[in-house]
Amino acid sequence: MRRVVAIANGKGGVGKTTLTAGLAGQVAAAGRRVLVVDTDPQGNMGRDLGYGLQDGSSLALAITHGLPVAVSRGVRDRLDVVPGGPALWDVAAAFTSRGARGASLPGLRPALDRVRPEGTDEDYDLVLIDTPPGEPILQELVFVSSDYLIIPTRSDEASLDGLVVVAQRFAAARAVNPDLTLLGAALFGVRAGSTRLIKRVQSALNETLGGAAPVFATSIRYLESAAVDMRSRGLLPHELEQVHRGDKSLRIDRLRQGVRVDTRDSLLSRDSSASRLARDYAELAQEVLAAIKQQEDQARVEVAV
Amino acid sequence: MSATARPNLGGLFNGSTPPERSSSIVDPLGPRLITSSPVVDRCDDGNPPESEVAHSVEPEHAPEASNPAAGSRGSAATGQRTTVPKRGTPTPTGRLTALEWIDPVKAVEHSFALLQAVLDANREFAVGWANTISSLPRRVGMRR
Repeated sequence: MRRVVAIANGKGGVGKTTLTAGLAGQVAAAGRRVLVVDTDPQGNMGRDLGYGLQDGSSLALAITHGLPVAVSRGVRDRLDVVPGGPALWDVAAAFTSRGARGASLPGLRPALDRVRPEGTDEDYDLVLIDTPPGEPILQELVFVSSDYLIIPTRSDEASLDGLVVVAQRFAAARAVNPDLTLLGAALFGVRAGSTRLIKRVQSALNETLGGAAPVFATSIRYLESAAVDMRSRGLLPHELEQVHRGDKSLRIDRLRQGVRVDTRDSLLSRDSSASRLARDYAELAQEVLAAIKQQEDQARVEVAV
Repeated sequence: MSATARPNLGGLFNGSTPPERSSSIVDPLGPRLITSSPVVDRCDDGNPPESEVAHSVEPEHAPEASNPAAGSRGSAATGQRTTVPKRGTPTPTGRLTALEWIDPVKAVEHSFALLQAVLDANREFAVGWANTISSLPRRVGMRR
């Protein structure tokens, strides 16, 4: 059974795309089938997953005209992607234009429902949708097509403003999709070791969410050098950790062979930092999957009652 | 984040508070979006849900003042009295907490990072020496 999870915040730069890619990679590496949908016209998912920039026209036409959507298969093992790109800017214009004429548009969910994994009869276990921050129509399109929402946020006040924006859009979308559920909020990009700050921000987030959903206990640490390494090479956190291991072995081998190591192409991050970052994503992925299971168990109990 | 009053968004997320404006993708005259789930007929009593009633009477774009976050932050500007302490106001408790706080995790992480760096340097040094020794001519290498 597929679970469709939107990753959204009304503010940009809070880690939506990086978090989406990292979670997708972890869940796929754990043996689940994952589909990532990039609804952001910036199309930065291509950098995070290393498949390059695309124009997003296939997804845009699927939303506005109901055409079959193109899928980038096998971006990783068990991980497929529906790429985004600048053509998605046209979706908002199409909604405005057709809405004025009273015409309807197919939307996102029918297009995604037709996408199935190749080589198996089973469906995706998880569909993760990355959203653009400043485009309400695209974001609400995602909300009406999703089962759950995860809100990544940073520790600053501006991110709180983003929460207010996303809460309004969430509530508006529930008029169309009453099953949409807030799964939780994830703190992203906090300095490693800032235990006191993390506790304070998590407390403030809990207060803001008013008990509607938990703040995930795992926060994703801020590591500039690791972020640069990952995006420049199209690596996910757990892959960067593996590259570090290989890089160290390679350096020792080169020393043994008497070959001078060229540091210009070497990784900027430290191997210990990459390991800790990979562990953050692994723990957060476990929390997210546990939260989904809890919601499903709760829904079963309600149906039984 | 500082200890300012927070907007409580729980109602918007659990459905007990209607949004300030209707969805951008649902037209008042009819749905712009073809959805598999029906837009209406969700209430057992046959009435439209509260949120949709609110949509039909509220403006498309609500004024900024109705934003709970904006309201709480703007209270000082409008001269209203509030019990929320100003940001950055020093309090005895705050000073005490700041003095007492020591982050052991950071110190331990630094210690381990230093230890790891020393071990890495030592290993590279040893590998370099091994490489140098093994590259010497056999006679020199065997001499005691």
